[in-house]
Amino acid sequence: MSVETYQYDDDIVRKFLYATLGWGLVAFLLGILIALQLADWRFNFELPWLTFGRIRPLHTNAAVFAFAGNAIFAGIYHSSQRLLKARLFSDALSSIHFWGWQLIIVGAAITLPLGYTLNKEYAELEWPLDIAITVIWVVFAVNFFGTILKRRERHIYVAIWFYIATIVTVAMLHIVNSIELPVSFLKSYPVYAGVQDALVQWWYGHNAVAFFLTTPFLGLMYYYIPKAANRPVYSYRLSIIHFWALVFIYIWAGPHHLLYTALPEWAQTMGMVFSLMLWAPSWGGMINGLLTLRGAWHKLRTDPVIKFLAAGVTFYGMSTFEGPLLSIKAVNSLSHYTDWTIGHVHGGTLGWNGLLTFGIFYYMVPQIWNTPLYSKKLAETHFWFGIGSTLLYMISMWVAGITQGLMWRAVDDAGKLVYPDFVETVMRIVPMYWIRGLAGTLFLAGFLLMLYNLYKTIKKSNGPIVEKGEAPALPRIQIFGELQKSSPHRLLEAFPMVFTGLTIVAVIVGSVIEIYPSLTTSDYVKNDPTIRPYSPLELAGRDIYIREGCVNCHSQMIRQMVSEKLRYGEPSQIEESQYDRPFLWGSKRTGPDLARIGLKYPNLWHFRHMLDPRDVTPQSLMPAYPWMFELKTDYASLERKMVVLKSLGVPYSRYQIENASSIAQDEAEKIMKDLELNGIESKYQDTEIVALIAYLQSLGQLRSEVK
Amino acid sequence: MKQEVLSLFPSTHLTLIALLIFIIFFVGLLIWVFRKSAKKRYQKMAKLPLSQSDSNGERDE
Repeated sequence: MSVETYQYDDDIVRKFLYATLGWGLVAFLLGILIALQLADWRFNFELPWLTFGRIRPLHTNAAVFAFAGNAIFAGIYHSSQRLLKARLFSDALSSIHFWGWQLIIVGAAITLPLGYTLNKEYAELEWPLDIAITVIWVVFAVNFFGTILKRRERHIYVAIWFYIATIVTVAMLHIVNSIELPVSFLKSYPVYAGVQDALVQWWYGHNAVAFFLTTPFLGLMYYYIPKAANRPVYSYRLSIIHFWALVFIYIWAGPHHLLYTALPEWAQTMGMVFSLMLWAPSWGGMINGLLTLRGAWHKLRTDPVIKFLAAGVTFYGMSTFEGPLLSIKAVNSLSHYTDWTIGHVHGGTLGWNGLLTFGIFYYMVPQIWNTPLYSKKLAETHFWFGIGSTLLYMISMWVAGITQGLMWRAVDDAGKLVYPDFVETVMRIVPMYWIRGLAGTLFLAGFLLMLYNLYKTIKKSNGPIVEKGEAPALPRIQIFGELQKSSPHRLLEAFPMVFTGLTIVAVIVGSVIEIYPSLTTSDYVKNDPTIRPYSPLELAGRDIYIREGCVNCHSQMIRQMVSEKLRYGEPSQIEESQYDRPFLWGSKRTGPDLARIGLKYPNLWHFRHMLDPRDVTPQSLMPAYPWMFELKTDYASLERKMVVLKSLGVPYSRYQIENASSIAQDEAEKIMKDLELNGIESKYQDTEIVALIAYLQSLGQLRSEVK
Repeated sequence: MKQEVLSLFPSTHLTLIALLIFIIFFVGLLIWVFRKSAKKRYQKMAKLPLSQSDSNGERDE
């Protein structure tokens, strides 16, 4: 048997490592900015591209796809080469993968602040970037599976399974959720509307957490904890059960983001039950990771790498305990739309993804540059900053969320709301927003210590080493020859492609059962003829609402609960959002729900409110939108937009489409006349504020009276 | 409540199919994982990340 020598490609690992650190800095800074914006509205600076509604999606995208994404790629490329005993399949593909991914992030950093967004959480990017993501993901997949094919280690370690599941599932989620029809270069409408869009979006959104922030990091956990502790994983059996249970169950849990909404009850119950089932595999995985340290517990005192890894896994346990808890309908009725959810996701990203990534980097940099870490003491300080700030973040958001949730639902003996004024419930939690800002700053401070520490480590090294490996080749014939003699499980593991197929089946089964009924059963959403589509000016206003990211703070979904009915009116019905592309049900109420805001206030109120929210609500946190009073309404594109919407099934008449622009202008004139009666100058007639008022006044008013 | 929830589900046969898939899969998985014959193999697999004697770089612990 001939022994082959090969070199690992750590150049690409270093690139992704640098990118992680750079984008991490951006993501954390943006996080602090939006935290301050919620504590004090002045931090919006009255600049359109710095306003909360546009920056918040940039923060989440930077944290998830830029920071965590690059960290995953660095870790996967570093560990897979060693586990498979092979250099990456193609240097060119690695390079395309790296630069393509960074370009997409730059594209996001440009388009999101400019207001080009689909308003679907974690899938905000417009269609050209969606296509770019698909292409780069395929490049990643080819590179990864190519490496598996040319491996010199026959057995596929469990970490590789987690990576495979990540690659195939993220591809499926992204493609299905991003099917949209373009109107222009940076504007499109999703093919799904209303409840279908909600179901598909949260099937995607939840599994983005599952298969972008969980499975790849679990794979990394199964490689780097044994490496750092120099102990094999506690139970390999448990890791297999962990894998299949997660892959099989996670995909079903999405509807827990839509509890008490207009989503049919069977889907809500299904989402809740499957979320509860996730407790078992998640904790199995956490225990497996932590017990790998058995016999090496002393390292927890001395080795910062182990500290970070163990803390990361512990936060995984905490987040995956909290997640199912929040999916229980009774708990969710309190927690949903509040900051409790925000605290929960930060426990996951800062605690689990962040601390684990830091641990891996403290391990990886000394390995690649072949020199001990510059300062263990600094790493240690970073550790306490990281863990302390994450806990501070979570606790402040628990307090804020539970306080506000209880205030929203408080009803007195006479059956009236105790806090009828929404802004009262906001005022109460502003101190918590300051504490959250402090927590974010502390987390960033720890991160800066790491940057300095790693910089010094790299600087004092003699440059990165080129690590070589030696292993006998794995001739194809030998694989096939052995297979014929071996038992079926061998066949399964020796054939990553078969395994990949099984994974795909596992994730598709759940997806089909969750989404199929909504796409095929005609009486699931009876298109209700008494609900009219948006008029041309309302449509223009809606697209302004989307551009400004209003959905980040305002839901449009009144839940089926007594206190919601008292505060906002009749619970929302499925039919009312039947033409909503995208759906704007929202997931957070920093401001009140807007589903039935239409005709609640006069046009003048909205006019003054958008110009300066403090003019009508002195304690309001909302940013001002002065630019809406200068920018002209885009009448010209309405016709094309309506053609696209009609092709998706919205019943616009030919007359409406052909005269879209003039109908819209007539509508604007009508609103302007009303404003003029109240002393507003007529120069605003064709500005965006009038279109936005038209949209806001239509909310909850689309159903025609049945006579 | 169970009846109510199920009665609103438009394609009941799907729930049955899903139930069957789940039971068969997880029972099969447990049997497969806890086979006696697999023990040695799993011990070997678990050591995979650690067996990198082929690397020539100096590794400090």
